[in-house]
Amino acid sequence: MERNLLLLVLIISNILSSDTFWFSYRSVTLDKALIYEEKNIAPLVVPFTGKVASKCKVLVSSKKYDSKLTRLNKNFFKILPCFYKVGSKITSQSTSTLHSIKDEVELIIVPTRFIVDFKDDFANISILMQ
Amino acid sequence: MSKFMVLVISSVGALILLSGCNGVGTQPAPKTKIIRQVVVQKVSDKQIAKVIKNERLDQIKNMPEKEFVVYGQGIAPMNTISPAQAIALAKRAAVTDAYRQLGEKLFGIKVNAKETVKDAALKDSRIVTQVNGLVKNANVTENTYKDGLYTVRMELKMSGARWKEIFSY
Repeated sequence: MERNLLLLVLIISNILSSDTFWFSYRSVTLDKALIYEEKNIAPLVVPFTGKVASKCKVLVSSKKYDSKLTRLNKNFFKILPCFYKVGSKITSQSTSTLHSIKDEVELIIVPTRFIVDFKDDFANISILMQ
Repeated sequence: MSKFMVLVISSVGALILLSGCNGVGTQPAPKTKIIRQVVVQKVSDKQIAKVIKNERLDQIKNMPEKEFVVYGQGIAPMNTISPAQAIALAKRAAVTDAYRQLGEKLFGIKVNAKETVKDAALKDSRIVTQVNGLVKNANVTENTYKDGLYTVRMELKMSGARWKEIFSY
């Protein structure tokens, strides 16, 4: 029992202290106004050793004792521009009738693995690709 | 004896006559046998692919770099709690719009149109345009926010070879 508990604690602490994360994002705009957003940053559980495709340096502001995941979530929109380049999937539908125009655009940033390294007031993000 | 002599002389004369200019003229060309053979050369798929690639590379080696520039626009939603949030949301909408425009340029637009005419008058008109695509390596180069409208300038550069490889349809 104690051994299992210890293993569980080790696994959880390993996951939470991981440097590698998943990133994905989805947004929907209607008539050029943002109506829906879906943000996701999650720790990577399965080890991954891919090539570093691109690097990004962003200014972040958060408390040092926060976990990496918390700091990432707090600064989500600062790190978002780093991931636009990776691959943005666009689905757009515009319907115009005699009386109205409805313009709907969905943008999805495909799930991407990345490594984060926090410094004093900035973070280095290395985006991993296979 | 005289008969024998006449016979010898006449036979020699006949021999000379029949031989003609055989020994004086040009020699006739020796007859050569023309052998026609069909040679079947086995070429692997890899060799064919290599040749095609080289041919294509020759064609597109000197193509200039392609650059696509679009201006995306976005507005803030009505239910924002602060001007900063409004600007942030407007920017994201503008980026999404810019990506849509890039997708239109790169992949084209699918258009469906339907018009209904009744009694020689237009009753209904519906035009639906659709874009689907994946855009990579686009950069936002300029941002402006004025009168509630956020505008981003987005550009995508790619080599001529890359362009030809992906979008030559």
